[in-house]
Amino acid sequence: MEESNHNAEGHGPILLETRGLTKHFPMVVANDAVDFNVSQGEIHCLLGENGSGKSTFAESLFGFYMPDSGEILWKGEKVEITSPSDAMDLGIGMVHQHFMLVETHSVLENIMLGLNTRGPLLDEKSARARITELSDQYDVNMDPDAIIWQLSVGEQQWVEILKALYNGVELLILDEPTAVLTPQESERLFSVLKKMSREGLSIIFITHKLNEVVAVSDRVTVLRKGKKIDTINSWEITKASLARMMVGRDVVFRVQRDEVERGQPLLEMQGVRTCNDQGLECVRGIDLTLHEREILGIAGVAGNGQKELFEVLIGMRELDSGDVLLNGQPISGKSSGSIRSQGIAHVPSDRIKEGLVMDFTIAENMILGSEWSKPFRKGTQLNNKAINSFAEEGMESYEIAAPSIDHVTGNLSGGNLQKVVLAREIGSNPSVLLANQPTRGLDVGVIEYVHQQFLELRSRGVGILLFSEDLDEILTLSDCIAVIFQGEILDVIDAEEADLEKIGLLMAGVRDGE
Amino acid sequence: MMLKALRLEIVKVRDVHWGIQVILVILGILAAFFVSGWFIALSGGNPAEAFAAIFRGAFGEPRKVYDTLMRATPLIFTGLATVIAFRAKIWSIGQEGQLYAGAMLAYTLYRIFQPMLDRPLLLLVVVLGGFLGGGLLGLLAGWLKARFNVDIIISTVLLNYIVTTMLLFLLYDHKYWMGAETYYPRTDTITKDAWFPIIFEDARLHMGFLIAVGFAITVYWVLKRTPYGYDLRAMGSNPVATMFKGIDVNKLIMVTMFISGGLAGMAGSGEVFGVHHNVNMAVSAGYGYTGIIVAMVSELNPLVVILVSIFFGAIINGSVVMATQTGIHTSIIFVIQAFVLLAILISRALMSYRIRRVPHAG
Ligand SMILES: Nc1ncnc2c1ncn2[C@@H]1O[C@H](COP(=O)(O)OP(=O)(O)OP(=O)(O)O)[C@@H](O)[C@H]1O
Ligand SMILES: [Mg+2]
Repeated sequence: MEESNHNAEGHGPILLETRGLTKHFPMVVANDAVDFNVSQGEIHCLLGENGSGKSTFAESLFGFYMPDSGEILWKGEKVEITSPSDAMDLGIGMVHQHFMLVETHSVLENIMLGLNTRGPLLDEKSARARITELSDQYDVNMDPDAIIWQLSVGEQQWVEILKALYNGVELLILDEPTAVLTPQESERLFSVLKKMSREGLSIIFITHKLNEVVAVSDRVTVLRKGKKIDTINSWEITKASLARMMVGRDVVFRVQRDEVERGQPLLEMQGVRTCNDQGLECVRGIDLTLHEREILGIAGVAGNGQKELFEVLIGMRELDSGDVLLNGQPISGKSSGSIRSQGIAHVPSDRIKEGLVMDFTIAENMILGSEWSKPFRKGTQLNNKAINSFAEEGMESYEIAAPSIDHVTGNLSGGNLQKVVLAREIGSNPSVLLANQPTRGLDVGVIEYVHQQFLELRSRGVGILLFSEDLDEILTLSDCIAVIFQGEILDVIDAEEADLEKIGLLMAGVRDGE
Repeated sequence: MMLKALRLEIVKVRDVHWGIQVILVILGILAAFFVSGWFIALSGGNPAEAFAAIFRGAFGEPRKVYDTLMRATPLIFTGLATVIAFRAKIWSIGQEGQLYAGAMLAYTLYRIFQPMLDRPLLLLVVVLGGFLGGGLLGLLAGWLKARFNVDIIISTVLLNYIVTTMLLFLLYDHKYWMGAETYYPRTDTITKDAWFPIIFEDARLHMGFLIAVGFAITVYWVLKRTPYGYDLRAMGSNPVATMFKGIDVNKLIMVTMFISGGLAGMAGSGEVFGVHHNVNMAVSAGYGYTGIIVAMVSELNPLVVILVSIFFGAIINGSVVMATQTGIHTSIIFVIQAFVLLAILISRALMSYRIRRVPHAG
């Protein structure tokens, strides 16, 4: 590199470089003159607050967005990447922040759909062979004929990765790939990524998990409000310094938790059983009680019945047997509307599919499900004044990065979408909060805020059922920890006596004395 | 290919300036006329003459303008019916059948109540009958969807056939509705006390037009400002999230199909009691289907539906003069309508594609 600055430099030859890359959206500067480079065989992390422009930057490299100014150099030569197929031609593959798979199609069909085929015909046989070859090379177990919706989220992520790798890429961009992976799956992904980088592949990796940055990357570039703050060598950093660079202040990783006396039983599950979409029993006799002023953490690897249990509790899935009581009254069999009206708020695990209407404005999304209730309805009309002031408040306290509450929700960054859901649900003044992976995709600063909010709700008497794969989160917040494995609660542990190792083993299905 | 499709998705989120939309519609209309003119030339006519005749026939004198508005009236209703269903992504194409169902129930009620009610009450009964007739038919399709998950497209198409066949049956027998003094399949002329009042003397424009405009404004307000309209839009955009948040989607589908059907039914009672003054098989000149085109061209905006309906009404009305003066068959209007829709759909697709590639500043 001819220019000299204090930025850390990569070891190998530079594969891709940007100079002054700038991208505007109406009323937003998503990327502001970003200088960046990634060398061959390097794993380069992009880090930054929600809405700091990471996805926009990555999508610009992939030709999904056209930068307004600045240039992109590929192996030292200036290139114009005007579409994803240009990017694929160069040898760039990308896994987007949100899945782009057709759920009713098979793995094979999905992979072929994204291809840059020359001729008019799809060559299914060679595609099948290529998928098998890739799966073998990286040691993933993938059936090309499996239908997407039947796969676990982790497996779907692998489909995306194989799709990106299919054409033989030199640069792989991964936008928050681990947000939806279990810790075990993430481990696996990292070992594969390291293997790939040793073989010369360059990787740009976006994440909010600082542990991962420290663990896998060679260098890390921090963005804030669209500007590049710095690029540093990963061996020189600590979690705390990264967090400070990211949000511009010190972050407490563990919020202060006061002891409170738990109250009356709120939500009782008695022998709850239900089946998943494939018709297999996946919640197998769960007995749990959530009390007032209590956070009950449900630890477990995703796919062990959490989603289905969550759906039973909110009235979106039928119970095969057992009972659910709210304040002593049965709510099983009631509609999701009547359950919600009794003060149960919920944060679903999939914000885009289950939590938001992407075409709505932020303000409209903030009242989804409450549009018939006071104060958002006045007579036959929506009460815009009440709606707007509620939305303004949520926008302010969660620091949602958008020009205004009338902004279309679909334009928000991933983490900001999650904030809209949280602001709505926590702000709905619930008596019970069901939260499935509530901090997925949030930056460390926001996680801290959300955790404080949870504890604040708890001290006001709310009972919170917290489903999380993140053991740190469970340990930080919970009064009581239940470990779920294959649809059963293996143990309920008091948080005081929680032992990380024991919980980890339980999550893997290993009981004491076995 | 998928990425191309996705790219359009992304662009769709962004608002297109309304000025551009207006220019687009005008361009689309011009393109449609251009192509239809070519068709006219092919069949040996003179396009300029033909279009001039259409214009004179539609707007040449006040009475012609009133007639144009009269023609627009059923289109506004069926257009609104489409808007409200399509906004919820309920793909109902039952407007034609619902129009007839509205006409039929209104006529039935007229036969029952004509002897006993005064004119104002009778009119009220007839108007409500139109809404109810179409509404119940729509509700039936909605119920089939909610209860048995029957595809709305299929059920509404089948119901269209069933209703028109039933009407045919009633009109071909003196025992039922066939008029005493006629050999054609139509009813006797309706007594004047049930005719929709005329707005201007000596013209055929009836109160149905004012009701239609009133409904357009109401539908606009309902979609924008009421919780029901909010739910409807939410369901149209993301039904899963809507259900998760406790909104009863099945009920919403049924209510929406009832209202949509009711609006289409109003077109039927309006044509029978405002224009034809009897029930026959030509009460609708395909208004149910044209309403779908109207709604699409209006980009599902209820207020724009009024304007587009007047435009289409003008072509229908003007084509009669064109036919008598130039000898070109009136069916050319269907060519024009189809091309307007095509041209506008195409230019919209092109525009979203282009917008993505122009870098946005500021
Ligand atoms: N299509 C779009 N139209 C308008 N604004 C957009 C669009 N995409 C992104 N933005 C805005 O650009 C900014 C950067 O968004 P981006 O998605 O790049 O953030 P991010 O760093 O990936 O955040 P996160 O960690 O939450 O995923 C945000 O303020 C966002 O609202
Ligand atoms: Mg992002």
